[in-house]
Amino acid sequence: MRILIRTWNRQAGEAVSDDRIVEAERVHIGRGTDQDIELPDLRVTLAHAEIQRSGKNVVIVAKAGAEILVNGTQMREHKLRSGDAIAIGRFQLTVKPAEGNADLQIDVEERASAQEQKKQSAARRSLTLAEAGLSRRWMSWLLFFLVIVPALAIPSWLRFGQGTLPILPTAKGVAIAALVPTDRAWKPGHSSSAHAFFQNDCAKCHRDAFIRVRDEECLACHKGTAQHVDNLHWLALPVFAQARCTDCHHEHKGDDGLVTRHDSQCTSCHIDPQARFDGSKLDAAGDFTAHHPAFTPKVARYDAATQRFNWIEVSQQHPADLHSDTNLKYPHDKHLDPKGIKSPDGKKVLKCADCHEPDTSGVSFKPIDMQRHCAQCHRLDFDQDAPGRTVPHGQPQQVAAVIRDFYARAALAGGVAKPGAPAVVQLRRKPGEQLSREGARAALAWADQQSALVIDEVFDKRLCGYCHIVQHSGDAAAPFAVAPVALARNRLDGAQFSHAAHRTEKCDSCHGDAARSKLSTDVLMPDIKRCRDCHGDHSDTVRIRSTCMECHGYHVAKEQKMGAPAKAMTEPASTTGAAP
Amino acid sequence: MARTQTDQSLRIAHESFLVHAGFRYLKVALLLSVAAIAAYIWHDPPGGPNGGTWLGYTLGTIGALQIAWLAWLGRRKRTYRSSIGTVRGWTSAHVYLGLSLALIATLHCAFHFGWNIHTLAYALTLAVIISGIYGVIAYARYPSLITGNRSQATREGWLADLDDINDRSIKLADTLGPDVHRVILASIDRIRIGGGVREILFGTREPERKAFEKVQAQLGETTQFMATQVRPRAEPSVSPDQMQSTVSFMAGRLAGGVDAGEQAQKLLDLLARRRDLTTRINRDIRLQALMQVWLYVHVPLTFALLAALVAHIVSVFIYW
Repeated sequence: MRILIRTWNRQAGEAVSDDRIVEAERVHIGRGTDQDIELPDLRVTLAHAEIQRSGKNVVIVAKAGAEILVNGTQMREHKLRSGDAIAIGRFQLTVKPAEGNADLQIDVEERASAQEQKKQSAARRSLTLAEAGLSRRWMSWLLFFLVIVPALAIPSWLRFGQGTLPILPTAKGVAIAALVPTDRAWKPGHSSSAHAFFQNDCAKCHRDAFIRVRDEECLACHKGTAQHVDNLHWLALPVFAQARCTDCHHEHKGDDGLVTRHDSQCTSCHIDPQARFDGSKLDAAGDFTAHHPAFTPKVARYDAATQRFNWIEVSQQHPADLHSDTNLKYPHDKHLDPKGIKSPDGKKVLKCADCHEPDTSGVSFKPIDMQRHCAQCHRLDFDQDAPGRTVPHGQPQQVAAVIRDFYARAALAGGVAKPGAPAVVQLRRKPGEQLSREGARAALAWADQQSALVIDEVFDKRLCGYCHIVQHSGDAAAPFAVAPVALARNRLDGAQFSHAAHRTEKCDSCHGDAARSKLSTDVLMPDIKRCRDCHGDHSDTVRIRSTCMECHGYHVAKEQKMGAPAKAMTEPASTTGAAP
Repeated sequence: MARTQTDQSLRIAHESFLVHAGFRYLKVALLLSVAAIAAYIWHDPPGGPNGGTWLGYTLGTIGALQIAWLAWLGRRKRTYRSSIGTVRGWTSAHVYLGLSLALIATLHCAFHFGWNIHTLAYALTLAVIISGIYGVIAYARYPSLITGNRSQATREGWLADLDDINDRSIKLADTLGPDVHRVILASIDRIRIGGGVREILFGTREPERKAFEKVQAQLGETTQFMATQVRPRAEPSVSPDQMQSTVSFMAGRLAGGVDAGEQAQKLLDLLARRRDLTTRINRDIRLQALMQVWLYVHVPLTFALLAALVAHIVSVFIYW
């Protein structure tokens, strides 16, 4: 085997080659001076490798424990081909095609001087995190964009740019689209359940960027929401004109924030209403327990001249005025007698609920109804011989006619065993018997006389007059007039008291005066002190924490609507706008 | 007088940034925190405290300004020409105002959290602060450990020593035969100084220890076998300490005469020194890295926070 060894050396910056031919069966490579190819590097063993024939091929074989890198890969044995680069220590052996009479040419070259190699190895070590590839700058900008792109750029582009996501109509496409960050990532909290069905459609309320949610967006659905007051002068004031729905209604706070129940929202004005609202008649209200005006229940005043009731508000601070005309005679004390009250069926003990039935609102009660609540005891029969015959309730004009009709028929039919009645009335008629003209006239005369007596008795004493105020009318057809009745109604306009919310309380725990009330004009509504027994302010720790909104509403104007053009006022400014 | 001044300037030079100017910035941060807590307790807005009340906006503005200013330290400390305070003063303020930011941010969000970018900004704020707390601990702990490990030497000196030892050990090994030469070469290749992030942070001692054991075993096998053969002829009162040199000596004698025995012993000594040196260098690298590694969390998280903060503020006002 003839091998041309071409050794390259660096001399004054230029590569100089030195050729020699080795002719042997085995070509020895190593650091030893006896080697065919001597590689003066301490990391090379004395006898490192051998080049030898193996059949038709030439192979390089590393000695036990020695390392050779052929084209960058560690090998124990390798079949040499032209172009192979073999690294041993800091030397490189390159296999070249044979030239001339040699079988093989090997170029031997020092890759780096010993000095250079030391420098290189020092450079290869990473001694700090920065050298090991960590870059604060690079990591910082990576994280910056990893955050800002999905958190701001993509949602903004989808919302305000022309960006739309091409969503494949497959389950996979939908699932991928769900991962794309949208403006949902900006949602600061849970939507209220009322708005939950469009909670991911931010544009529904947030119409334009950097513009606060406008009232129009709210009123698009909440049409016809009442204003706070009807007074147009007040509505023109900044406190109303510049008020926004979102001042009180906070979205993205779950259900809690949707209606702000914070007293300061109300008391900021109501602590001194006159200071801001010219002509307001409201008393100052700063809180519930110490600075709240006395209740002003609505009471009725009957005007006999016009026969109408005027409803006025009277403060509970003025007990003398605290009476309400009803035009009924109804002593609560008698009806609530614990020993019972006389009834056709003997003594009967009445309970409040026998007459006061809650209505469906839970706030108030169904009106008292004569037929349902009174008639069982207060029967409207007018003749003791005919207990089934009654006069109709509520129709005084018909009462006289019914009585007259009854006695005329009876007199004509005969057989009426009334003392003092003429014989023609007392006598029973034979079947088919016709009364003579005189007889009939005499019978009807008695009937008229009897009717007049009974009508007088029914209206004035026994029936109508027992409960109602009855006056002679001077009209023969309807000789008596019953004064109109005003049943007690919801006494508070500006507040809502829910009886249903207090159903666990006994009636007399608030309306204890009822058992002692002798007059139907008594106003049996408890005063605010009774409320304060249980209800305290928002900051109270021993009583039920109650805010203004517990009893009062904001959108209480009768005429004016939020967001709608103002309606012309029908009354002078000073009397409208009775806001709670 | 001059001496007092020198003493004082020396004292100031070594004064920790934590006690800078008599805890001036600790006091400022505490004042800010107490004021924020007081305002938060006193403020009772409709709908409960949140980031959208006037106090919420105020705290948010303070917090955002704090973040911007705290992040600016990264630039300030590189601007050597700046005359706005000393870097130590800035660092002191950075630490204390950074800690107070945790409180300001918490009061700003008023304990409202959710799966949104607003809470992301808050979480990143806390993450940056926590990494900063680690940084303060690291700066208190590692410098003394590094100084202790170095014991007046330098890493460059050590590395030069190491190269020297490697050269000498190869030369020595060469005289002890190809097996030893091969093993030494392999062990040199296995020396790991520094390395990747993991090696730098968690240590590279293991391969070096293995390399040393392998060399020792290689030398030991030859020598020990020989030693057992010659023990009866050795001193009967030989102690374990003397054992190694005896063994080496005997092994050397038997293997190649007195000179070779000395060479083997020298080689073992060199390897032991090399092991000590690599351990120290790697420990130095590791301690330096542990002192610095928090910055690779703190700074990138700060940038993530700045991004989240921008997204938070812009989105809040987009959807006002």
